[in-house]
Amino acid sequence: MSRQKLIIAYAFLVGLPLLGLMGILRGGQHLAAPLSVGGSWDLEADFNSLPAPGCREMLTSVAQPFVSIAQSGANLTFVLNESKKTTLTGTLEGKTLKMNPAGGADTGVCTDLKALRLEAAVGTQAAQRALSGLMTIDGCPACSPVPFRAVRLAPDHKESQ
Amino acid sequence: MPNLATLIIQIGVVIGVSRLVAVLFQKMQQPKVMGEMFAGIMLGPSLLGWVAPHVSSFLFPASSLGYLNALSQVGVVIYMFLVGLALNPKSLRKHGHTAVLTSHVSIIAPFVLGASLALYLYPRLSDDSVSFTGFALFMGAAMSITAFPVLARILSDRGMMGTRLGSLAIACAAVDDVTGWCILAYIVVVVRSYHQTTTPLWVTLGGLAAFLVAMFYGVQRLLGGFETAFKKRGELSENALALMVVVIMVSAVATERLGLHLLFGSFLAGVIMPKDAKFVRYILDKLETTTVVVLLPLYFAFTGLRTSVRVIQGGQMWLFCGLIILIAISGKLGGSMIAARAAGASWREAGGLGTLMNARGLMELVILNVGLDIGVISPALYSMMVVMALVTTFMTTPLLEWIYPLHMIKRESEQAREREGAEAEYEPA
Repeated sequence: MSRQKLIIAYAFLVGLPLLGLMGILRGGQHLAAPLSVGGSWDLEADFNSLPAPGCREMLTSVAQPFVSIAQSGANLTFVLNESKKTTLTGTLEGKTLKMNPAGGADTGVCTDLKALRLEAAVGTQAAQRALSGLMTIDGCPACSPVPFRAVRLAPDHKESQ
Repeated sequence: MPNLATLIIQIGVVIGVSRLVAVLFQKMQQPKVMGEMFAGIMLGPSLLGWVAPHVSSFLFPASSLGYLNALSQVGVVIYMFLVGLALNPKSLRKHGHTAVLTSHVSIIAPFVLGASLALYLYPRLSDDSVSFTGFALFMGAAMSITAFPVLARILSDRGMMGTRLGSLAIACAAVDDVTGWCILAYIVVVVRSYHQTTTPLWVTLGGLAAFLVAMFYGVQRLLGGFETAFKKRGELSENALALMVVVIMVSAVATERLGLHLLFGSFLAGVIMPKDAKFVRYILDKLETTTVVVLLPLYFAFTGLRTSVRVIQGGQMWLFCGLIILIAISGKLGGSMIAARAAGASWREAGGLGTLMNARGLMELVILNVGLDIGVISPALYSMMVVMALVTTFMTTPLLEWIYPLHMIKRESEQAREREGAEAEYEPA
């Protein structure tokens, strides 16, 4: 291959794509990704006020020792109760986080973690990301919606753990 | 203290399953490493954790994974040293312009396509803790990597090392690997500075400059002493080998402390090693077996434990996965093929080169684990990229057989030998 041909091929096959890359990096700056909610969350609520002891125990066990959220964009995977590893899915819509009960959840017994529903607003003002919202158990009117607050202990990144 | 019984059971199971699956894959004309990668995925939540969750939690309890990870990381640190050691800049000089152009295009084409894909995936699979620049650069780097060791293994298995295509592919893959790791180092710095970690940016950059100077002007001379000793005695003493391992570890820790990653240091230690063929072979023989047979399967298992194909839920997620695979193949295979053709190779040769460069193998898994560790990719994207690494590596051998069948390779090898023989006849004594 002659030197001249090499320079032309190099400019066309390497130079142009490099310019394109710069354009992509500049063009992508305005893109907004969903809020970061992945990581471990310390959850607090007044469970003692609940009338039914069964659901009190169940709800207390949710954050043992904390609630983990794995995030992929707006898709969330929650791990409740470290020893039982109950896994539920949810979504993030703007600043609202939702966790849905699992398909085969045993509703009506008030003791199945998989029947838990959660909806919360994500607080971004403070240095530490926070949640405030309600927990409910599907098919269990005895356990009225329980207000809760949570703060993020650590995001998903290794260096922050 | 780790539960030693659990750890030993884990090591036994991982090595046993890896060997078994590797043998099965070899029967399908696939490289062993492909089987080992697949075995790792099988042991994770994608298969074992799904089919037999109790067995999975007995074998791999969450509390034990730290120790398994530590062992596997030691393996990859040594393996990256071996990858760096096997790289030889002379292989590039032999092919001149063709190799330079092809290798650079084979990096830039998938890189740009990967970054373009980031425009679509960033709002869908990332979050605001990651900058778009970091995300796009990572996607580019992950798309443009080539599995140098897997490629070398495939070439060797098919008897292609002596062919023009084989040596060109080795040269291009070597350039790709060095460039890919330099880009990844830059990305780690960008991402970590975005997260404002404990290591300030000036410490990373200043320290890295000082480290490179020390490695190239100080440590390289020390390593040259190993080669001299080897040439004198035909072997290295145990003390010398121990010192070499210490150099690898110190280099790895230095880059980690500078805010990069362990693997950059060990890779660099390999790159600056003397490149005398016999010396390189000797070191590979000493360190390769234990690393490849014992430690690397642990790394594959650890990767498998972090990968859950079940995270890729629903049609939209599988569409993203398909798109990633399509972009990865078009960028790497297509880019390398067009560049090789533009540099004067035949369509068949260019296609063969593109196919070989498209194999990502273990190197892709290493990059993806770095990405997940620093938080630049999400668990779902990580799993999709692992699937892409498996698909692109798996397709290499059958596609190569179709483009460049074995009988053609044999004919070309014979012609090359005849040419060499004719040249030797006219060589002055």
